[in-house]
Amino acid sequence: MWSSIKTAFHQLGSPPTFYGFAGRLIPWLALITAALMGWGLYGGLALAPADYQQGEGFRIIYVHVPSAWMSLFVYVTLAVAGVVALIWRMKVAEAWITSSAPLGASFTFLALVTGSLWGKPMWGTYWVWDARLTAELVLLFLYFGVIALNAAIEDPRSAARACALLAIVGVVNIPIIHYSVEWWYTLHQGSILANPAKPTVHPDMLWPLLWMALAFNFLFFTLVLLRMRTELLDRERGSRWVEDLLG
Amino acid sequence: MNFAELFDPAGHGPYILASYGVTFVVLLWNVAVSLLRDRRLRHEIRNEIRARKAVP
Repeated sequence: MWSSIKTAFHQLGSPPTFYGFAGRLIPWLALITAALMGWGLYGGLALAPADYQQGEGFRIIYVHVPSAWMSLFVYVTLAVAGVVALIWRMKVAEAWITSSAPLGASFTFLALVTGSLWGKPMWGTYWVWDARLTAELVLLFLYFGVIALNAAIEDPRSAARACALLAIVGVVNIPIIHYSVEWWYTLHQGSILANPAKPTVHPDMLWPLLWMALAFNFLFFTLVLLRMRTELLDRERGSRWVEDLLG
Repeated sequence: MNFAELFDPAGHGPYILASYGVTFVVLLWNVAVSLLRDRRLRHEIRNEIRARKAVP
């Protein structure tokens, strides 16, 4: 079992193998994303009842919460890819860093904007310098840092190593975001899934949220694989396999 | 589903519309940019290969 995982890890570390593998996976991931997104939207906008306190406005959580979860998840994958890139010098891990950072920044931006749009009718303000909101804003700046660093260094391998370091250092912000609502008195509400066995939301409202979260996950994997294929093609443009593929 | 209540301009409608609108614009923008960048790069590399092959 372990040896087959190790073999697969090494095989997927090879750009041509990864390129082909990702190409076969992308259409399926896109199809699953569309189905999950459709079902999640239908559940969130049509099936879930209005909240007894927040009314219809609570439906913003179906885009806000998945974006916020993805903003944290993508950053963790960025840091893991950073460790792999620094230790094993794998080009695929480097491509993951440069390809996933703009997607992570998009999810973080969406979490902040949709959170503000939810905050105005519920809290009476678009923004407060609350621990959760401020830490999420710091996360957006960390993503911008990775993107800017990658753009500023000409050699892609050196750029990826610098981005890997920043990603690893910045991962300290992830537990701060997650636990901010427990460590400090904040306006932001606590996690609705703090105890997954006893969620604080009714299943009719919770299931569409989980479908949407899954849809955002699948969308991320679809896009990151697509962007990684482009990144690998760009880096390997002078190599034999690219010439055989596109020649 | 009651669309009139959901998108009621006097209620939370504008906030709901803006949230879903910005989300889908950003996500679709990411899809479009990723696809276009891939397409442009393939075209560029094909031209480079053709130019190399054309040199006697």
